[in-house]
Amino acid sequence: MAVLRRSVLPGFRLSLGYTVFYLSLMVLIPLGALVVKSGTLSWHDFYTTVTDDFVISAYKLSLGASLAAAAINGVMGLLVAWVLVRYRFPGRKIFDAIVDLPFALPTAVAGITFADIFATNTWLNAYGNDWYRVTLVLIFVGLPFVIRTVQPVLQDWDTETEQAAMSLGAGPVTIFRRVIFPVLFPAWISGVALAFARCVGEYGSVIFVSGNIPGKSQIVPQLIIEKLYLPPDENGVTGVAHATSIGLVLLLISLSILLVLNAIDYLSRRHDR
Amino acid sequence: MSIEVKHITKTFGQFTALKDVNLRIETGELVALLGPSGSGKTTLLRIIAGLELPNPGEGEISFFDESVGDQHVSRRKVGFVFQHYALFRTMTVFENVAFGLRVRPWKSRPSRSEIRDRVEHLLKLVQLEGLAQRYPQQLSGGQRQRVALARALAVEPKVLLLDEPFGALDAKVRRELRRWLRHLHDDVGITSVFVTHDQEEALEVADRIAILNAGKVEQIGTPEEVYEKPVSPFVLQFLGNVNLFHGRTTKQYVRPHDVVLVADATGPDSIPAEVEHVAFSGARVAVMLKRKDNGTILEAEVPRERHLALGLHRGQTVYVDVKESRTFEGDYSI
Amino acid sequence: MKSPTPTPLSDAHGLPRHLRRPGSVVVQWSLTLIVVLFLSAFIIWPVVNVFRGAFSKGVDQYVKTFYVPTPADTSTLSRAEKRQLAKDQSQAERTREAVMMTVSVAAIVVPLNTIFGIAAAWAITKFKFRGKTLLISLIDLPFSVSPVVSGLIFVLLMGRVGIFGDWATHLNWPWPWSAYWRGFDVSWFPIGFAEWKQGVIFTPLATALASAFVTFPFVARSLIPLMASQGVEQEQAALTLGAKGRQMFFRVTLPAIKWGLIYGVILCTARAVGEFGAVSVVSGNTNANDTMPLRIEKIWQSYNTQQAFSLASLLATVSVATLLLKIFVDRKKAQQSLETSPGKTAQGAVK
Repeated sequence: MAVLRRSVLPGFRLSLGYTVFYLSLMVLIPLGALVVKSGTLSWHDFYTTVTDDFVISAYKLSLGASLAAAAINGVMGLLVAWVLVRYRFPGRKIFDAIVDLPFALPTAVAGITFADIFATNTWLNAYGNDWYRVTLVLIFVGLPFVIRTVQPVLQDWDTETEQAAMSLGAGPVTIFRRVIFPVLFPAWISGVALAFARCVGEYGSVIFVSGNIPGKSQIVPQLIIEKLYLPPDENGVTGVAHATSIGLVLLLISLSILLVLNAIDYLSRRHDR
Repeated sequence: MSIEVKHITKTFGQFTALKDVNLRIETGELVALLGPSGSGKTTLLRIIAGLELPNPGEGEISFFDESVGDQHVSRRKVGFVFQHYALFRTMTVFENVAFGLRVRPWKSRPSRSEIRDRVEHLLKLVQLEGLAQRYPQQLSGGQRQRVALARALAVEPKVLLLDEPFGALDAKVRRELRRWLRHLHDDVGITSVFVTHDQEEALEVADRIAILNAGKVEQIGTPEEVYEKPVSPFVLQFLGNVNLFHGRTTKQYVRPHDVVLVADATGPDSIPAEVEHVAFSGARVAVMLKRKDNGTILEAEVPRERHLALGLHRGQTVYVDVKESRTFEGDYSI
Repeated sequence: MKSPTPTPLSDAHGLPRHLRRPGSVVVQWSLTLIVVLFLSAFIIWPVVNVFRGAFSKGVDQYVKTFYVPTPADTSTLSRAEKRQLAKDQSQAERTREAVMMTVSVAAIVVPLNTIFGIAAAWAITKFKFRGKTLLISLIDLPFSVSPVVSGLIFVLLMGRVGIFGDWATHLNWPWPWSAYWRGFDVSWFPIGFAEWKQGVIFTPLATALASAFVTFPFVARSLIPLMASQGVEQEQAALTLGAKGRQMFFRVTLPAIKWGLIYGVILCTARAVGEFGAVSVVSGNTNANDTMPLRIEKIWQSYNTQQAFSLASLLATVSVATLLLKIFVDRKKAQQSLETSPGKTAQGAVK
């Protein structure tokens, strides 16, 4: 990281040096460990580990429930953001503020309160399977993302464009579909993707509501923790190696979501220029 | 002299902001750096202050014959007034002005009461006595500008540097403040340099004007010198509107007030033109004309009496005489 | 620009009332109702349920989660009652220790991440250098890594079979002379004499490391946009007035970013206190390493719902307080960036 231009402000070397040092200590070395450790796995072991039936079913549950939760949040988040920005109603500010609660509430607390709600309100358990419960909890976990990405765009939105469309004879549905939504789309899709990424990795709140039955109601993070402490299997592959392989796939999923997000950001900016 | 800049070059990546610039500013002068945006005038001012570092090399900057090129901005003792004032938002007006005194090393720091007296004196000088306890956000643009000036003067700088000092103000406050700055400069007598892109401002306020173009000083001189004896077409054009006549071999430049309108041709050089538009601005009348021979547009500025005598109106045909024109060597007509 | 004419009964960001279609009021109220119900069901209900559960057996039982007093006269108690009392007391003590552990982990992690956040934001917003974008992405990285994977990373680094495993498992925590790292579980100040811990993984140190990893973007993230919007002119002005680097930082920069910094620190604290997944992996299920969230899980698994909620109510209070502070700080922060005029960013400073 070379300095391009000398500056008169002090502290550049000190601050950048400390930043890089701390970042290396906290992020680069640990992540390097993951890369190095997964490098010691043979491709065969890696492949058999991550295509194991139990692993596949855990991925199905994690990705499926996350996708469902992200989709529901995509719709509801858009609606919540719309209502919070465009309408005035008593208690609006309070509802606006509590949207951040899922960010702030520790996951374990969310987990036990949802587990308790499912246990004491049996009518909620009408579809009493794990998919259903996990999805509901993940809706809570991912709830702020779409709202908080769409809200500022809606706030900056100038209603004159809408009025122009109205003067040209467009109806409300057309206006939303053709005029408003295209503007919101980059923010909206990145909100959905962020919610999805968060849900895929979520552990704390989900373990309290899912049954943790291998092959049936186990999410990926649960599986990683379970494998971590297992003795070596019949092929001599250690539990840590199993956990690393599965974790690596999880990490790759998050990183590719991040990559897609950056691409969306880049493309939407190019549109502006 | 009090500021001397020798052979300064500055590049930002591919872009050359200053090319081998030399400048001498005498003690007690008020000098304007005038130029269009991108001409390097702000960069030059910031290099004098030490906020920007010139390309390493033979360049040299000295204040009062003492080289300051190696000195950090915090040791150069310059008073710098930023374009957007850069007042400390978390401090009151009083604290803003006192800042430079309070950060001095313990030994040279004035006592509390001395600081108070100094700040009060400065606030009186900039006519802001009653506002010491206000925050910058609670002041108008013109008031902020004066706080910035008082803050810069508080440290008793060797030179005062102002970056577009009136750029962010509206037209009326601008005119008031620039007269006031001129008076203040005459009172305080500190060597001052200010950057502006407004030629009217430079002509009115400065003792001397340095005109910059594309990283070079085109000309430096008193307002009269640069206006009456411009060394290049750029300086001429930058200091006011100008009409261009293509002669046989050279380009002739004529200011609108050197264009004379007459009802009938006075000789072979009179050019017939049609009046396109007449605009009053008080005692002078600006007239837009279209030459009948080649269709180019001319601007003329005539006294009110002349306008009344000719009865100028749209569509009228008049003859154009040139009272005074300028040509430049090597500036050939195609 | 929006028209300056007031539109009574219309909202700031919506269409003027006279442009609304007949019937749109019905749509408006239905949508509002759906949103209110949705947020109530998914946010208010769960949070209220925490407090309901905590106090479901009364205040006495709530207090007993944290402290079980010994009756003045224990001679009248039966043997079974005495055993129960001792058990309750030891459970309450463990809960108190978990609270202490959480507090002390936060006390280590938050200052470290705060210093990092300020340094990173200073370098990124006030200077131009190559690799800045990469640096920002690296700072964001922990946001996109699953907490369990974050924990796993430290196991791979410091665990028995980890890269530094050999060294880390035999490491005694030396401190000058005879003082040793003894973790957070004995007293809340982590450095003490005599007793010491061995190894890294499954010790409180690992808990602190994992928490630091998960929470380190917060301060930097809340400072970077604020400091970028403030630009470099105020610092430059301080320098022209003769201020030294330290004076410039403490008198000009720090006051200007105060509220953004407080906000970042609050967020960082809230997340450090509530972190579960990463800490769960590196704590090794040892009682002595329990932080509050881990303790909640253990109490929950022993089917003591009310006590789990009592402990959870502390964390829920912290997060609600965080929200209230956020609203307050947002207002202050808006004031701080309000007066930022354009053209003062690091890029704009150069003409």
